Amino acid sequence: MRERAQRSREPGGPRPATLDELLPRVARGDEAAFEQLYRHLSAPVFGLVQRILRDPAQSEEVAQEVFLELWRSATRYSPERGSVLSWAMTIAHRKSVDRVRSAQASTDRDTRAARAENARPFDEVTEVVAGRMEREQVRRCLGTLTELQRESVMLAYYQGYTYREVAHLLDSPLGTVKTRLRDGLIRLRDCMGVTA
Amino acid sequence: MNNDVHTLTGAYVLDALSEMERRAFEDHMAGCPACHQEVAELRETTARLGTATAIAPPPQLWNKVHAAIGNVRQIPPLSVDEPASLRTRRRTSRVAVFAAAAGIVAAVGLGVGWVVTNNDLQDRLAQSQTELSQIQCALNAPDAKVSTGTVQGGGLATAVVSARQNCMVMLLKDAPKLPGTSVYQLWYVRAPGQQTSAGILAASNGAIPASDLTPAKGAVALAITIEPAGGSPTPSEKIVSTIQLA
Repeated sequence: MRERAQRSREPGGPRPATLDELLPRVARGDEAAFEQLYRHLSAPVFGLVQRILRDPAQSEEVAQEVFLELWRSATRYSPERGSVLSWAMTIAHRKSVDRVRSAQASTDRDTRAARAENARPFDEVTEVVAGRMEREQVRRCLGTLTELQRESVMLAYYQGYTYREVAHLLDSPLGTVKTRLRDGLIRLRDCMGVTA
Repeated sequence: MNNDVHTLTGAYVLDALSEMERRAFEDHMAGCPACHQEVAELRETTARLGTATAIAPPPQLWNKVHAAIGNVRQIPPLSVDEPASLRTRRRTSRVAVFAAAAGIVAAVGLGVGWVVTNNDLQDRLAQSQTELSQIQCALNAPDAKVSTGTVQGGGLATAVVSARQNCMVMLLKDAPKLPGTSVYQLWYVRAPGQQTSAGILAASNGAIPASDLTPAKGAVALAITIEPAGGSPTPSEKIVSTIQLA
């Protein structure tokens, strides 16, 4: 397994075949396959959750929820809608953001403002990561964005802000932020050579 | 395609929309194959942003996950002969579920649907309320006009249109079962060959609401075709029902 993981660690193709093989087995209730799936996905999932939530205990809780959801709904995964990795990361992001928003709902405006001030510098995210080729690619491709596109995308993705909050933080009109988010992602997509 | 809504693909994949906006976008996406494609591509893109943050979780996480899955039943897969609505999109099944609950049509598949998150039920209720208000918009309008058409192979299509409220709902009842992952797609027809998509429904019973009739401008009829999952940009199959608008 270790060998397979290493062999497929080529630029642009982080182990897709292996995840594709594992998923149908997980859908059939194969716990050993699920453990392998976990080995592949635990670092990206946990990294993203913790990046958004910061708090280690909460991150662990939410990461656990993510994996339970992957287990539970593996039966409904459809390759036509995207890769296993994208499916898993979508769930991880969504659950983290849900957690942020539900916590946020119970805090007042002042607290929210304080939280915004505590936001880490935009490029710090690339410092905390563990990853090799992917990290390099992400760093390089983020560099092809305009500063405003990059800020908008990173605030939304890594901080879990709504585009309205992003607009507020960057003091920009809503329409501009919407456009930047999309244009920024399209530019990243093209830079990374992503297909779906 | 509504360009303004379409620009939300970025904010949508970043989970940066409010609940209401997210639902509005999903409604839009249901009739917008181009949006589907873009969303899929942008999701692959954000996944890379996510993997760049990879960091090893504490070792006890696996133990917890492993212990927990012992108590979690996997949701059943969608069997082949279930209505296509259940395998394509949450929205369409939600429409069907809601429509039945509202007593407007007897929708099949009630209570069966996508189970995606713990909040799903709450989600669906809120969604149902959105759909309900969209449908009520037409049904409660003082100027509501009702037009009907039969569906080839059986069933009835009823459109309730309110010009004053700028909304419409098309109700489909007892239409033939859809093959595979196909969907019913509704079109505004201006002239032969000039159609704009008005939404899709992946079940034999259910509703397609429209909360804005701008794309219907100049339409003389509604047409229904059977299209592949997600709908088509232009009708690719023959028309199975036509509703003449008075």
